[in-house]
Amino acid sequence: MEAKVATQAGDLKSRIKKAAAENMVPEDTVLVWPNLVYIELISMLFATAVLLFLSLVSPAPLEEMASKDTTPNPTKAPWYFLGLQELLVFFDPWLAGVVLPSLIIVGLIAIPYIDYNPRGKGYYSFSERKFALWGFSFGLALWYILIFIGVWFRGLDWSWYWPWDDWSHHQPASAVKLVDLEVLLQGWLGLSDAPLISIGTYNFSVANLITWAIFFGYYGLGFTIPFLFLRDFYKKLGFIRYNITMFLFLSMIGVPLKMAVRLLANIKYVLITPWFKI
Amino acid sequence: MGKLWEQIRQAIAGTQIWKSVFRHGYPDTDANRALVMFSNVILHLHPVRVRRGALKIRFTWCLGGLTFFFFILLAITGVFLMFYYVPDTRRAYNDIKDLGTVIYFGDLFRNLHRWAAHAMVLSVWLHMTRVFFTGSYKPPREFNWVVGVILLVLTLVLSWTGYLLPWDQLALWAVTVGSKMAEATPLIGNAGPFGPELGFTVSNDIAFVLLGGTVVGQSTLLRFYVLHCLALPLVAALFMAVHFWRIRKDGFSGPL
Amino acid sequence: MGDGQGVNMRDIWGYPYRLGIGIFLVVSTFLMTVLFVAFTAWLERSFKKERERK
Repeated sequence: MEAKVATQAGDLKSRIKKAAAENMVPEDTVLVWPNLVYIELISMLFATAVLLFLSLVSPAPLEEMASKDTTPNPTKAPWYFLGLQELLVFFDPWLAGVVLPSLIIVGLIAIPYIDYNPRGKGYYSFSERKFALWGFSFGLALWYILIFIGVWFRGLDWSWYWPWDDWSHHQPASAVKLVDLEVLLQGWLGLSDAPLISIGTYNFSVANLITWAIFFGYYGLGFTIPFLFLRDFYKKLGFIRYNITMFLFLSMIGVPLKMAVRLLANIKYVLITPWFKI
Repeated sequence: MGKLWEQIRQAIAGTQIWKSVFRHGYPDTDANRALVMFSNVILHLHPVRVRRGALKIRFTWCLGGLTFFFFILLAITGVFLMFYYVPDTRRAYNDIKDLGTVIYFGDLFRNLHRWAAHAMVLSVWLHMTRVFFTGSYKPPREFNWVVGVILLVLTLVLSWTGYLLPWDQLALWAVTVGSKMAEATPLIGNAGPFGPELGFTVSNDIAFVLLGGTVVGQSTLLRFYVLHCLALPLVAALFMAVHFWRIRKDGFSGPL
Repeated sequence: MGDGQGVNMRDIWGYPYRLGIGIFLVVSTFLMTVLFVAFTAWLERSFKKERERK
């Protein structure tokens, strides 16, 4: 048995050499045993050691028994969902809890199908795929920062606590008065409340229609600007992939944009429809 | 002394019992190193040879392997925990307390389970990040990336369902937050856009399906227990099988 | 004019508390993005250097 395998192994070596000469397989291969298996063993031992150390040093928490009567303040989701919980401050639950996570998952799944760039396959590369890397890193950074904020900057009543604030006292109720974009527009432009269009029981005032225009205009501009000025980019992607890519990209940028608009301009809803609010 | 040990070793390895279990010699010759990859079920995950560049720790940081290792660790510690835990709202909490006090090594296994869970979530994110940065999802490996994203979602859901099981305040309310978000699902949630219009109420929407009721209660605990301990690990194992299969078939991407 | 709730442009900057939060959010996201990109660029360079050395 061993003799047969010995000749097979010898055959293997000469076959690899032959294939490498024909550029079919890189010559520089090594046996998995011991080279790879050894690395795996060390990393498993190291990971186990770290986990054991952590287990001994920091025990799993166990709070009081579950009780419907008392709600802990604040109620925090597990850390990997804190990013989504933080988004709840800025978006309605259906957006923050369902639509955005779904878009994230769909967007992640779509990545290999919209990435047309053949370079950078199998090695670290920034210089050859700048757009992809900036885009992905931005999304990743946003995700981690939201978790970060949820863990270290949110306390009682989900108020903002800087590290130097007193975490045991409730923050004073915010004096900020949030306003909706269409109300703001009405004020600025001196528009009336009266509905311009009425469809059934739904009334749309001028300001409301302007907010519709702004919302779709954001996406519209986002679709057309690269089309006009970065035609190469559009051509390489093709119509379908281009639209999917730009939609996902614009939505991703739209999240911190709306957060900034709310924090800096006190605008609560950018678009109000009779069925949902964004 | 070494010679005596050698003789003992060879005597044992020559017996029929030994040879019926291990059909290869110790992998210290090239022939055996090749043979062991074919004959050993645990090792057959690997190819016989691998490109030197693929071994670089700076390339993979061992993240994929560590994620799988954490999964195995979680399964093993999880089985131990399952011996002592009953998903009944009247005794779940006390079972966890027992693990921390009267059961030998109970707290060690519970802590290991919890830390391995956090580690697995972290390492699966980092693994995905690494795969993106090295462009290892590009054709022909697109589908493997999709399988990986599914595994990421499964990992998060596994972690979340496990979170409820201790039935303490942290667990109950963390899951309540999640289920409130589920209620807000468009179309199929009773509090989401178009949900009520389509006839969904608290008793028949997606949150009801998730919780097995209108509040986080006994049905939820049982449901999450079954998902966490049985259904989701099986599904995850299936997807992992596809994931590893694809890596073997498409070859490990990596520097030459 | 609408609901009698006058809107003052001054209000936008009248709350330095939230301005601090907003700036923190934007700056930290930007920094972390740069961190990821820099990490990848560093790894790219280190692998390239190794290939050239061979």
